[in-house]
Amino acid sequence: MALSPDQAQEALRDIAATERRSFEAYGYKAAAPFLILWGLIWIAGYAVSDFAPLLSGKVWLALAVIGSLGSFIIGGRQKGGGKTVRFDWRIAFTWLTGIVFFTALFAIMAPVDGRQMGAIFPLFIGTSYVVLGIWIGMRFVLAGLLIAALTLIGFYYVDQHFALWMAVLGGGTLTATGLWLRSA
Amino acid sequence: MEQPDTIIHQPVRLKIMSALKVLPPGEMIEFVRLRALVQVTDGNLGAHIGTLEESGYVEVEKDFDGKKPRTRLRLSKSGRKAFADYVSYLKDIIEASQP
Repeated sequence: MALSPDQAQEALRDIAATERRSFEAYGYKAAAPFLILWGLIWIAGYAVSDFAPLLSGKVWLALAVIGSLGSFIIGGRQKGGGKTVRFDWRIAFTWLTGIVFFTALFAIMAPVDGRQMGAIFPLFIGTSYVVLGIWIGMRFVLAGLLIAALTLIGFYYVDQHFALWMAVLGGGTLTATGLWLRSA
Repeated sequence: MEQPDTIIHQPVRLKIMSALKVLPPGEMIEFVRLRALVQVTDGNLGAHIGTLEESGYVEVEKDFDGKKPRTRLRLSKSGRKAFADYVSYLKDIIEASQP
């Protein structure tokens, strides 16, 4: 049973289409728990920033530590097929890259108030998701655009409760996106 | 390869192999996720997985995720090679047909 060139072309097209869908679904499944975790952290952190601004520095630091540890655990479990926890150095280097980038950025142009501080990280995250989505799948692009747009709307049009806006809509969008990706 | 690998050549099995091929080595996919990607019934998918498992192209693991039974699979080494050979075979046909 030899194949014709047309049949061979069609088979290659089927392969490429299935590979693309599988790669996309794998990326969504891998990212979902991170988005849910950080969405909940945003909700808690921004809520504290709004209701108890004096505590926000310490609370955000504690939440960043919790989020980092949680991310290491999730990443390790994914590498271990959900059974064993193994340390993945790429996660550590991803964090290190982010820390170095923001340290350099703030050294050059530090935010002058908490409002700018509260907007710059979500804008960076939103942009990162758009870039990630260009390579992996549209759901990341949509989530990134939504997070960036909500951040800008809140920054420019919400006067008193920007942090609460970010807790509900920023954190909520991140969490909802995680659940959406998990169902993909 | 003058003839296609008939195990892989079947359309549903070709989709299963394609879906598994892009996973990182050692990574497994759950039956329900694979079903969504391949878009066939449980029974149909199970039968094709059985054929691929018998030929040594996929490795199947059955365990429990909490209390829920879970079936996961991945490409074996020989499955990865057979799939690469099949893709080369297809590309050779196309190349040979071009002037």
